[in-house]
Amino acid sequence: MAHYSDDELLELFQKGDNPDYAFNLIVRKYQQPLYWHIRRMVIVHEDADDTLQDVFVKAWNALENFRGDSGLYTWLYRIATNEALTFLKKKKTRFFLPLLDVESQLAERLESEPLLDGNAMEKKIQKAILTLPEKQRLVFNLRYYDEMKYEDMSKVLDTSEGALKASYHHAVKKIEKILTS
Amino acid sequence: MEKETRNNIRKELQELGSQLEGHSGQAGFGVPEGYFDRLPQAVQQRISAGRQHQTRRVPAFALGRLVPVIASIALLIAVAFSFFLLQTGTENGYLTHTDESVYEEYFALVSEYDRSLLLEFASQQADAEGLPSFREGFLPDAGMYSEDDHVVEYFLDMADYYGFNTSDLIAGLD
Repeated sequence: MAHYSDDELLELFQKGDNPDYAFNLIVRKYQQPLYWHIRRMVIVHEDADDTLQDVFVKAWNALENFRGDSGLYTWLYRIATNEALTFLKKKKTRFFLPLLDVESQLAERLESEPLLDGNAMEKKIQKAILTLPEKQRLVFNLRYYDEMKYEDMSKVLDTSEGALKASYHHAVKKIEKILTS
Repeated sequence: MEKETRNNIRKELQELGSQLEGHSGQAGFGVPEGYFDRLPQAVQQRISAGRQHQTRRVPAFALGRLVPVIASIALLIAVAFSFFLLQTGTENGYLTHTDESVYEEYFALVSEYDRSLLLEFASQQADAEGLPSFREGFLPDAGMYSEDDHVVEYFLDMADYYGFNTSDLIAGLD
């Protein structure tokens, strides 16, 4: 598959003869990073799969009018983040549980997750991440796993870079504390 | 991912004295075999299904059917709102909640005799409800409220004070 830049993909989608093909290329380019981003938030593969498909359907519907001001990469991450948070919110509403309980429920799922092929340390880190508040969890994941720049993260989460740095440092310290305890 | 960002992340973790520094950054989750090969097709199917649903969603004949439904809903809302207003009027339909001009018009037409009847009726109401006597302290001195506007003002004040329903006051004239 040829490697297209985001701008090239957008042009191909918006001005090309075959938007389906262009969108397929976008899906192939972003499916993995977005999947892992969502998976780390919702933990369960089936939930991550549903959420990711919703993300791409929403992107398809909106891409025609997308002006590209924020960049395709941050725009897709933003949709994925919102969808993951919406999923968690729905889960909370459905079971009338406070979010803390949803997260402890996710930690339990994490324990029994058959597809988890990481080592014991990875599992420990994931469990520690689940103890963080939602926003900190997002910030930590985007920085640590997705290796996202604060500048891009600021566009995804609509938060200042300073606040994101503080949030990330705070999250690292908390995780560190849990890992060493 | 850019090498520079990766280096910055490592440096940041080092500065924080974190043991996370040595990890690869992989979350350790797995996916079913071939999942990412199948996903683009699954997304395409969802989009195609959405397109069909959209074109099917509001066919022209359905729009025709929607008109009476929308009209019925609007009518129901209007009835419910009117009922609400009616309820409000019954419970709180005192002079203070009514346009004063209506009562001013009415009082401009009533004779001196009718006014005294109204006063009488208001006093009876006050007595029946164990309220302070209508006449005590409120009955205007002779000549003081000779003008219609003063009488109206007086009645409005009284009705407000006693919480009388104006329809009761008016009915008292019959």
